[in-house]
Amino acid sequence: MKSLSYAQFEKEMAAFEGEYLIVNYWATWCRPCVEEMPDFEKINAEFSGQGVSVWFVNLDFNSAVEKSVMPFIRKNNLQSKLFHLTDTDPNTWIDKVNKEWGGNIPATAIYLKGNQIHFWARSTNYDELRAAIRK
Amino acid sequence: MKKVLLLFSCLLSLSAFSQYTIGSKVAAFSLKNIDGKMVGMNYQENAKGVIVIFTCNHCPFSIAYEDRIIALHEKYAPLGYPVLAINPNNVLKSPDDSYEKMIERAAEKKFPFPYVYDETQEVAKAFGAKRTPHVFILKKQKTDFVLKYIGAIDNNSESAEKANAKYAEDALNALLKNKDPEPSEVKAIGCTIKWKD
Repeated sequence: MKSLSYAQFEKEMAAFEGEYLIVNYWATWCRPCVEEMPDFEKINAEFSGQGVSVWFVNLDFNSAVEKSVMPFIRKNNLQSKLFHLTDTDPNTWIDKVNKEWGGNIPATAIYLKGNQIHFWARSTNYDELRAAIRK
Repeated sequence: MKKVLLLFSCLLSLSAFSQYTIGSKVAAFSLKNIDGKMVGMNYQENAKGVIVIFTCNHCPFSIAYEDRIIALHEKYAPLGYPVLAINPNNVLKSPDDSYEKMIERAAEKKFPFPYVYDETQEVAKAFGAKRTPHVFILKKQKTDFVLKYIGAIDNNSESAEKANAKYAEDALNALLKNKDPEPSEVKAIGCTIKWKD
């Protein structure tokens, strides 16, 4: 899992060469986040190599990475690409994800060739994700 | 005819339900406090306003802010801005946020402010609350409560010591000087409100 600032994360997104990028914001303590993760993993596995990637962006506190996030990742054997944001003041980047976002998680943004085509400040599921990527 | 009237009144109530924005007059409400009494924004006599905070028992962000919320109340209630904490979560979706657990939590932390239960979630919807914690500071203008600040308490959920932008305090200090808060809206990460189905 890569720990970085949102500014650095933006550069990672810009460097993505695939077609669909699904970015899911989550935390280990967020029950609805954890419940939907298998659906994202399924999409990531099913469409790997077809230009679709799922990126999980973790928002646990910096001090919780070693003791909560890493064990969670190992226990659940997460395969999607993993990031952790280190900025302590999310007000600096929440609007950059989407101006309508009130900061609640889970939240999912879907990009098609770099353009945001969906933003959901709520839970989602396999069917909705599948319909969004039109493959 | 009856069907037409029903449809019309449904449309009216839908259109009346857009959420508050900065400058909105907030309608009075009354919610059940942990002591069984009904409490509203006006609970402190001679208040200059009120600090409405949507919060809950289980969310780690709310928990991380509890001491800071208590401190806000202790500092600003004597100056005319008491805290009114509201739990907006549906108990079926979030059993740890039940009314009974609210009573326990308030006792554990010795909350010096009312902690009320928005069982129907109508108040949370009216405010457009999106997460916990979510702060709405209102200033009293004659008999109206006007929304002046929406957002976060400070710029570091994890650590009170490291927070160097105290957004809510800055907003309150501005209001006490009869100025408008700048910024008036600040975002933060928090737990999604557990809306009923």
